[in-house]
Order: sequence, then structure tokens, then C-alpha cells
Amino acid sequence: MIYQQRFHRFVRVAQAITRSREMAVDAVQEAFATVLRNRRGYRGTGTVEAWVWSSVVNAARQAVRERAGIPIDSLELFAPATAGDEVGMRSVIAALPERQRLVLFLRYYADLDYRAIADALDLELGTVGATLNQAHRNLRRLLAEVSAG
Amino acid sequence: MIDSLAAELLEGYTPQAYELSPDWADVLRRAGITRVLLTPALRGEPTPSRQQRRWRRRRLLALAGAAIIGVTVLATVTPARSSITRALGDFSAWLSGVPGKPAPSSDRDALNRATRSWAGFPNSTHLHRLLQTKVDGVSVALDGFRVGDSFCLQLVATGVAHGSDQSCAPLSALRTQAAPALVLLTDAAFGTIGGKHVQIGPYVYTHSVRVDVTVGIVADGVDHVQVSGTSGGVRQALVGGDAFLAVIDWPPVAYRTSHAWATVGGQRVAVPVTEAPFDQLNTNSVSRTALGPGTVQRRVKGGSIAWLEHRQPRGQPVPKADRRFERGPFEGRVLFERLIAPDPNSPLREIITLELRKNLLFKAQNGIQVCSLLLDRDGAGGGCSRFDQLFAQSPVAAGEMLPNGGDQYEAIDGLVSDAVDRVEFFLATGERVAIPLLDNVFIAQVNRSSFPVRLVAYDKQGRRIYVQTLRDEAGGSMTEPRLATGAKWHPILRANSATGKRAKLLVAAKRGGGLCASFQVSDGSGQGGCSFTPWRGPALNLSYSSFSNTSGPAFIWGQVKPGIVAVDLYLADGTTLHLKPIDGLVLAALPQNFRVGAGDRVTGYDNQGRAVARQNLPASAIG
Repeated sequence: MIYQQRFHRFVRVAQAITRSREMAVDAVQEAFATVLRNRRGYRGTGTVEAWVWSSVVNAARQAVRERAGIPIDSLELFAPATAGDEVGMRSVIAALPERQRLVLFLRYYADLDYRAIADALDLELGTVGATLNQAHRNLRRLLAEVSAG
Repeated sequence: MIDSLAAELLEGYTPQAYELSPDWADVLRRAGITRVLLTPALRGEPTPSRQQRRWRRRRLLALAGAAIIGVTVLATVTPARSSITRALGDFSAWLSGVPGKPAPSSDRDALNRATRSWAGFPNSTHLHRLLQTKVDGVSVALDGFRVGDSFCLQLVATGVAHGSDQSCAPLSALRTQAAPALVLLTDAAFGTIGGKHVQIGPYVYTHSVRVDVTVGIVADGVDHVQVSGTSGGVRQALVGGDAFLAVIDWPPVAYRTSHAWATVGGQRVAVPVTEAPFDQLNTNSVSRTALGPGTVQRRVKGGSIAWLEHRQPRGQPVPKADRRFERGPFEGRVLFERLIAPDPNSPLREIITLELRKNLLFKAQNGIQVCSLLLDRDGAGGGCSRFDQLFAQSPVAAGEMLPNGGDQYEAIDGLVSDAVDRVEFFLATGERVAIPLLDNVFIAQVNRSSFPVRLVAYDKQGRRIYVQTLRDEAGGSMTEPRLATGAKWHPILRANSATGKRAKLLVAAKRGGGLCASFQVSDGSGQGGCSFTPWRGPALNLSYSSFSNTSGPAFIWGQVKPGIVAVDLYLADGTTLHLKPIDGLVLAALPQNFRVGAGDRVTGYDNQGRAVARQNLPASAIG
């Protein structure tokens, strides 16, 4: 089933939004629970997978909004040490606007087509293509900046 | 080209978490359903034929019937269950009373003296001697007693080292305990041995404990209990009186019991243990995912507690003896107070007070405040908030209390606004527990191996109006920093206060880049942590060292963003301190008799002398 097959992909995309693995897992679990609760509300206008992706993205965004109340210094200074970051790589992706980052993830990571991305993010079909183009341009520019040091 | 590059970048951005595994049962629990007919698309299966659909429906009906039969059968065999499981080992001796023989009268009298004034204890508690031993000149006795629906173990050490310790747990834990033993208290320490010199993280320790004791209870039929700790090696515990007692003399510095096993009927079964923290370090490496719903269905802000607002006499008056607990710097003049016991059979209860606060340090918080104080077996803990602000952001104000780092049960308590109808805990072990709630107060004890706990509050319509994930943080908030291979701690800044305190700031290279910092004061206080790479967070992150209502902080320290080369601290009394960051860190002694005041602020400057960041102080907690 989608849940079993795509679990790690869902978590990785949710983590890209929440910046926290634990929150990402939580968002994925909550998203599937929401899908189950609302399964009769599926309109059948897009693929089920796009519907599920939409739920995961919404749950992750909701988690970020709820986290907003946590003082940043408690995250900053007293968080446990994490494994090494690939500074350049991560900063390039992190520097992208959220919509561009999400479209990239859904395109290259979730392997969704433009229609499914549009459904998942509630965007017009044309906006998906335009956003992906902008993301590509920004990636090239940011990579050039990182390479130039 | 950009496609493959994008994919590669995304790979690096959120590396795959191979250790995670899908948990469909959790999804079902969150969805509030125990069985669901998934659409074929969700299952990733082809659409079933009509015949298959009919078969599936019959099968579901059959399962539903089996469930009903199952409930009936369970109900009818329950009386016999205890006799069956007793042969395998259960806790009937503890459930029906206290095993062992009456403890010596002197010990019983001492316990009664210590607890008789406490509202949660009956005037005469029956103390039973369960086990005793003598190790390295220290006699250790283990006693047990019952209080309401809780059971407690008491350790008494006499000889070259002496002292006592207690730990309690709810009887309900025994009814659901899967393992044939239950650990109640780990690594109770009696006496010290000097002459050691061990560095753990940034700290150097020169003493170890003389005798380290771990205790718990066992089910009937348990023959052996073994424990092992962070330094390896399995030790045999004494077993008797339906309890066990593991005593280790001269353990290594920072030794912590981490595993236990009980043998019953020749079968060795693992018993859950949560490690006690060592100093500020949380040595427990177990990390679980919180279960249960993660989001609210309705947002609630504001609200109050009507009975408290109108000062109605709910619960009971506060016994004089329980007024002895001080609330330290938060204390105000008591206007109204009541004692609330959400679970009448539990010794845990809460004092709720309305107080008039006058505090020279935090004038903004002056006015009527509400304080909640959780009374435990031999102490109390709680906090205060301005009454009109208590539910400004959410309908629940919860707290945790762990009297002893080695306690396996932690108390979670809180106040809820009138909007809350009921409260539930979702434990990381998969259980869903209804929490006693009375007069807007809830209290529950949770085994620390069940954390993180998700606290969920519902309104009268059954909608989730509050969700909070509680972690076992009362036992230690810091993880030992992961340093780069071969990295060593070295001091980069030192400061001496006018009152004679000394502070130093040590740093070490963090694995993966960046720095870990440790701020240490000669009075034993301190803080520390590691920075993220690349930088995240505020440009200025300074805080005062610990201070109280009667004495101000002696130092200020913190972290600044790369690019900030100078920091000015402007104090409310007009004093300015110029600080120069080293490795992105600052440390300075504050003037003598310094008091924290609204208006203290910090400004950071870049190498052009431009002010690029500001921070208002105080940001530090009273400590």
C-alpha cells in the first residue's frame, strides 16, 4: 500500500518542511489518519497519491505553525548535537522559497507529475511549471555562488 | 543535468532515516478506528471482483462476531485468570497488601513521623521489611508500604554511609505490567569515594559513590533478578519479600543502571529500565516517537476557571502541615487556597492558590497570580502565573515532577480551563490512558519508559482542543555533546565576579563542524550546548547566569552570529559593558550587586561598526 511503500519518502518531504525528523514522522502519521478519517470525502478528481501528498504537506505545515511558539534559543543552544551537515548542499536547498522547495521535492522525490503536484499543493497547473523553472534557475545561481565561495 | 543535480541536492537535504519504520497501527489509533476497509487504491491492490468483495464483507462480519465473542469469553474467564497467571508469576502479593514482615518499630515510627502531617498519608502506614544486606560497611534495608492505590519502596542505609530514599508507583501499573518485575528506583547513592579523576564531557569528577542501589518489586515465582549498567557486567540482585535489591559498591564514576532481567520458571525476561541522568547529562539514549494525535481540531485561547475566579470552596482546605512548602521566588501573599485530589485513592494532590504578588524584579508580572503546587511523598513542586494570563495561549498548563533522577515514575499535573472536558495521555508504548480530572486539576503518574507522552485535551463535543508532547526532561536536559574525533575541551574565556565566583567557558569542536560550548561557574551551576552549522537562530543569544529573587546574576554569557565582532551590554542602571566575542562566544562578570532590570539590552556590531543585531534581556530563567 502507499503508506508502506512510500513511508520514507513522505517522511523526507515532511522533514524538508518541518526541519525535524520527529515532527516529520508525526506529520506523516497524522496525515494518514486524516486521510482515513476523511476517506469518504475523496472526490476522485485527482490521484489518491496526490490527495495523500496534499495531506502530508498540510500536516507538516500545520506542525511548523504549532512549533512557532517554541523559543528559538531553546532549539538553538541546547538541542542535542546532530550528525554533520553538508553545509553547501543543505544551504542551497534551504535558501529556496518554500513553494519552490516543495515543488522540487514533489517532482524529484515523490516522482509526481505536474497535475499531481498541482493537486497536492492546490496550485494551478501552469504555476507548477513556472515554479519549477524558477527553482531550477535559483539552484543554478545558488550553486554558482557556493562554488565561488 | 539540473534534474539529477536537484535530486542529489534533495538527497543531501533530508538524508534517509533508515532506522524509521512505518507504524500503521499508530495511524489507525490516531484515526480513532480499530479496523478499516481501505480502498483498493490506498492498499495499492487491484479492484476486487464482486465475488471477492462479498467474501471480504463476510470475513469482516465474521471478525466482528469474533470480537463480540472474544469480549464475552474474556469477561467470563477473568475470575480464573489470576489463578492461571499466578503460576506464571504476577504481583498478587503487592496487589493484595504488602509482602514481607513488619519493619522494626523504629523505622516505622520514623516513617510515620516524616509523613503523618502530609495530607496524602494515613496517620499510620504499615511498613514491611522486605530485604536487607550489608556491603562495604553500609547496611542497606529495603522496606515496602502502601498508600491508597500506590505502593512505595523505602531504602534506609546505615553505617559508614547513611541516608534514605523512597519511590512510589500506582498499583494500576502492576495490573498492566507485562514483565515479571518492576523497577522503581535506580542508582540511589549513599556515601562517596574520593581520589578519582574522570572527565565526562566538559566536566571533571573527582568522586564516585560508595554504594549504588537499584530496587524494585517482583512477581510471585521470580527466582532471580539481574541488573547491568553503563560500565558493563551483569550483577545478581538479592530477591525476597516479592522485591529485589541490587547493591553495587564503588561503581565507576557516572555508573548508571541501564538494564534488568527477571527469571521466572526458567525463562529470563527483560524488565524496562530508564537510566537516571548523570549530573546535567541525560545518559538515556532511548528515543521514541510520540504517538497519538498531533494536531487540534479547534483552537482555544483565553478562558478561566470559574470556581477559582469566584473563590468557591472546591476540594478541601489546605492542611496547615502542607503550607510548609515554599514556592521560593514566586511566593506572594495568599488570598485563597484549596487542596484538590483528582484521584482520591492517589496520595498525589495539588494545592491551588491565588496570591497577590509583589516582585521587584519582574514588575510586569505583579498582580493576582495563580499557583499550583503538586504534593509528592516528601516534597512539592509547582509554579505560578498571572491568573489573567494562565490560559491566554492554550486551555492547559501542564508540568512534570520527578523527585529523584532514579525514580522510574514521573508525575504529570496541570490546570485546565473550563473549556476542557477530559484529558488523555497517549503513551509511546501504545497505551491510551484516561487521566483523572477534577475541579480543573489533573494528576497522573507515568513510567518514564513510556515517554514521550502526548497529552490531549478535549472539549464537551469531543473535539481535540489541546495537544502537547511531554518528554522525560525532568531527568536531564542535555545530551552529551558529540565531539569531533580527538577533540578536547579547552577554556577560551574566564571571568571572576566581585563576590568571588569564577566562571569559565570551554569549547570543543563538534562532529560535523561547529562548536560545543560549556559554561561553568565555581558554584557548580552552568549550561552548555552545541551550535548548528550552518548558523540558525537569533544573531544574539545571551543569557544571565542563574539568579534568584534575593541575589542577582554574577555573569552573562552566550553566543553571537558569525560576523558580529563586538557586543555592547547596556544595563538599565546606565552601565555599559563592552564584550569581544571569541569563537562566537562571550562571557563577562556583571557589576557587584547587579540586579536584573527591564531595559537591559545587548547590541551586536559588525566589523564596520554598524549595529546589526539587538536583544532585550532578561531572557534567562530564574535558577
